[in-house]
Amino acid sequence: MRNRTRLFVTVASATLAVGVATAGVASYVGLERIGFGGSGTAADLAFIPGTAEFVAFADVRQLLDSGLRHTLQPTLPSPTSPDARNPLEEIGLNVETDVDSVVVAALPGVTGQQTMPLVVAHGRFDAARIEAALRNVGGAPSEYQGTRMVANDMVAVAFIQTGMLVVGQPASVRSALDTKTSGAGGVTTNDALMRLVHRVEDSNTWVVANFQSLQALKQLPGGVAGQLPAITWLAAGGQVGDGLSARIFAEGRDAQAAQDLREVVKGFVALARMQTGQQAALAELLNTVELSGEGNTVTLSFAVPAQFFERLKNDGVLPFPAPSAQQPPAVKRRPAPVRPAA
Amino acid sequence: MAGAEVRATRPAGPEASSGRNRGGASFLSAAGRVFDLSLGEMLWSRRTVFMVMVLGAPVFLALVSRIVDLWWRAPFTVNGDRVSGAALFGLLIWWVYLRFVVPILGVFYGTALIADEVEDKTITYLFTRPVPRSAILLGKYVAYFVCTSLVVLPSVTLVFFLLVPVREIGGNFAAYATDLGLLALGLAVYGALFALVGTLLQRPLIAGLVFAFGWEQIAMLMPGYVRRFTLVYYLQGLVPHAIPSEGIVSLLAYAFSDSPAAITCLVWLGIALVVSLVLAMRAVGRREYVLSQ
Repeated sequence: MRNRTRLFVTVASATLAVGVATAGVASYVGLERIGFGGSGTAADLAFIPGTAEFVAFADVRQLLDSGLRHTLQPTLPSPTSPDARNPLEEIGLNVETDVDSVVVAALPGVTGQQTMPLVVAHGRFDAARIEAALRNVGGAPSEYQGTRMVANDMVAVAFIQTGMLVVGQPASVRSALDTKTSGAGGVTTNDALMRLVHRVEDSNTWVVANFQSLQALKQLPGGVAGQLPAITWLAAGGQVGDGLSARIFAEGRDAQAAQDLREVVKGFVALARMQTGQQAALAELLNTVELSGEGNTVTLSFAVPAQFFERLKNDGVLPFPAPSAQQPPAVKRRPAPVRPAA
Repeated sequence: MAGAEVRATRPAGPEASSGRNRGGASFLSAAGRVFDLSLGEMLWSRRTVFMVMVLGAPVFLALVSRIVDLWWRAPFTVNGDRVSGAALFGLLIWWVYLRFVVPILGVFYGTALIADEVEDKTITYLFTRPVPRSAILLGKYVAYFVCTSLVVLPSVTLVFFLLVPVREIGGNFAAYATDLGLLALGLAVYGALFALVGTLLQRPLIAGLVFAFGWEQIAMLMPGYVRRFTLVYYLQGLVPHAIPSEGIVSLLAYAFSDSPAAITCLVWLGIALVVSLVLAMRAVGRREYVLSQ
């Protein structure tokens, strides 16, 4: 083989190998996590108005495929629980099979405790089926900010691109499209929020919330809220796999508030140690708790190994029901493909 | 001497000039030597210029699409619905690579494996070497497969990374890997079939083009069982991509509701590959090639 032939074979093989390896690593690890391509959720956050009270992200595919999910599955609520209004289910989507990831936000004055949040979803969506589902309940197609929408009085869907939807109450969705189009006034321009997002975005599920908004929504018990030092932002990120590792960041109004918060958390941890002294599993969990912080920020982290959940399951600490004799059918992850035409 | 003929090769029976009878190299090592020689010839031939042009088009399209997407607007929309990079990649794989690039490379390279040697009157030199004739075809066929794969698959890789956004690369890995396998399989099967055509027919290029761009196109549009006598029907059954936009989906779902199961496709394509290659090797071993002066 001549040198130039050998060179060509080497370069072509290397190109192919690098491509396959990169895509493979991206499939198993995620390029965002190893620093390529920036934040995977940055494009989604561009849809979220700056007034959002909380923003959350979930890599649905990783969560559903996680070992922890399979361990806890019997205790998890049904995704079709009638108690909560999941906007994705409102438009006929199956979260388990159709959705890959979601960014969820609550907007003041538009979404509230008993109503639906704004959701930016990625996955495999059949636009025709979604549109038909909404038309059946009074929906009508329209175009807003150059984007095709289908909406009724309660829910709207904007088809951003193939495999990407914005779903929520009609006013929320229009607000999201306005935010994206104008490029201003979104959460991405909120430095305080984005600073916390960058701290937790390497997790496969995270939430960043405006603490004052949570208090206003009365999501916290009044006694607890009153005792806590002045917190402005709260963020939590969890890496869910076979076990769970989580970090919680709280941003105080000033350094003194952060110091006070650290003391409060220390007190809670000490109290928990006293309460769980006889339970080895919980004591083991508390041993993984680390409290740190600098400036206005308090950081609490902990890791729960898979064995911990297994032990709880075996000890009957968590209400795991006995598995039913008839196993549910395996979930088919990908819908049957439609083959292209000749 | 026009019209005169020279009997360049005259086998007295199957594999008459077989290296086994001449104390030559074993079958595989002979095929390896032919492969080594043929790969360089194929890579640096005029056909490669044509192949680069054919494969440069989708890469250029992907590059333009990415630039337009970055600095201007969504490059493709269907009913106002933006066609994502992954969907566009799927369309290119099917319409450009599987329906055009793979068959045309199979036709041009596959039919030329032996026909070029006959046309250039150099087959005499090959057949007088102490190697089995069928090893010559096998070596040339493997060289064709390596040559085309090493050009087509990196091109697909470039298109994939140009079209699919970074955050979606992981999610599309399975489809990308399937596409690479599918293209390699397509190159292998079309190459084997047209290698057989090249060993049997006087004008294999025309016959190959008629098959790939005449018969296969028409048969796929015909209802009933006719499409089962094409290769593209079985390749279609292995394509992993879904096509966006409900209008197209409905149309395609109707037109191709009888797509065979993946295992059926693999079995038939495997049979086509093996049978074509074996018949081609057998034909080369038995046939008497007559070189016109």
